[in-house]
Amino acid sequence: MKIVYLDQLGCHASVLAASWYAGFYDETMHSRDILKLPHFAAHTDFRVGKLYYVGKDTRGTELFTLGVGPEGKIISIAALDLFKLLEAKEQVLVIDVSPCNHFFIRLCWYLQMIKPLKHMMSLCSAYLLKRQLQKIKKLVKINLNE
Amino acid sequence: MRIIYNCYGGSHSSITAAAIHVGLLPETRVAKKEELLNVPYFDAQVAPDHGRIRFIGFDEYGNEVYITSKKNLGRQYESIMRQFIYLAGGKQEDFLFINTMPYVNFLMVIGGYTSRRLGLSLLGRPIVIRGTQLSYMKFVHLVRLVKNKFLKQNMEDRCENCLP
Repeated sequence: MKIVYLDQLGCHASVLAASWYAGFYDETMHSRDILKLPHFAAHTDFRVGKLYYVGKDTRGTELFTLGVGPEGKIISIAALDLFKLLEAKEQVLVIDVSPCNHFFIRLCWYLQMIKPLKHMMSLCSAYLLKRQLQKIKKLVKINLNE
Repeated sequence: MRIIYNCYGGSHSSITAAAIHVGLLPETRVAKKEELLNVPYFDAQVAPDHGRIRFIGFDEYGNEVYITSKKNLGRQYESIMRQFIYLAGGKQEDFLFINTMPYVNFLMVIGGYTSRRLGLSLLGRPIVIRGTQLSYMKFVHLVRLVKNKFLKQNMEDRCENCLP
């Protein structure tokens, strides 16, 4: 089984969601630790459609993140229809966590493009995302029917 | 092969091109208002339908033709969908994504917005139909390009592989 977490650029809420699911991150950890998560804030431009491999959970489920721009909902629907067309043997689950990237987090992505601000803005978005962890967890649990 | 025509709302340009492709609309002249309205899903999609990949029919080469909407994703839609094909273990060459947005004119935008977004189909539908008729031969040209460039080649390759 594969799980794909979607958000606007595939390297913010989606990375946190995948990492929390895989057990790489929990709420007891510091927001600085979010910066160490694979591909967190790894964007160098605003191109969407980039797929990132986050890792495997204990059950062997492969976890990915994908940047889908502002159309997470549409892409989730389209992906389901596409999998039906493909008659995919392997189950691929799509979870859209893009609503967790709120305005200020998105603002940090833009400011991160200014080189001297890069680290500070990454830290800032990590701090803001940590505060969204409950929402992310809830979204993931709903989608996994847990 | 699966050909997926895509546009903003999946209501007008993609439907028209897909209908021409499968032969539901004529290729030699501009379709009449009644013909356009008889095409399934033409000016009928609503917001919850966005993203759905809908089957329109088979073409003369046996390819499956679909339509979908992608809102503001533009050309990036294809790269996203190709990532999903990769993840599901599908063959990339089995899918062809055709963007019909470059052929959408101003009347189609205004008519489409009025009819679909504002829900004023009585006002928007005649405008979008007029716009579709104005761009109609461009859609015909696009379909011919698709058939000539990709599908014929595909058929020829398959025939060559069949040779002993």
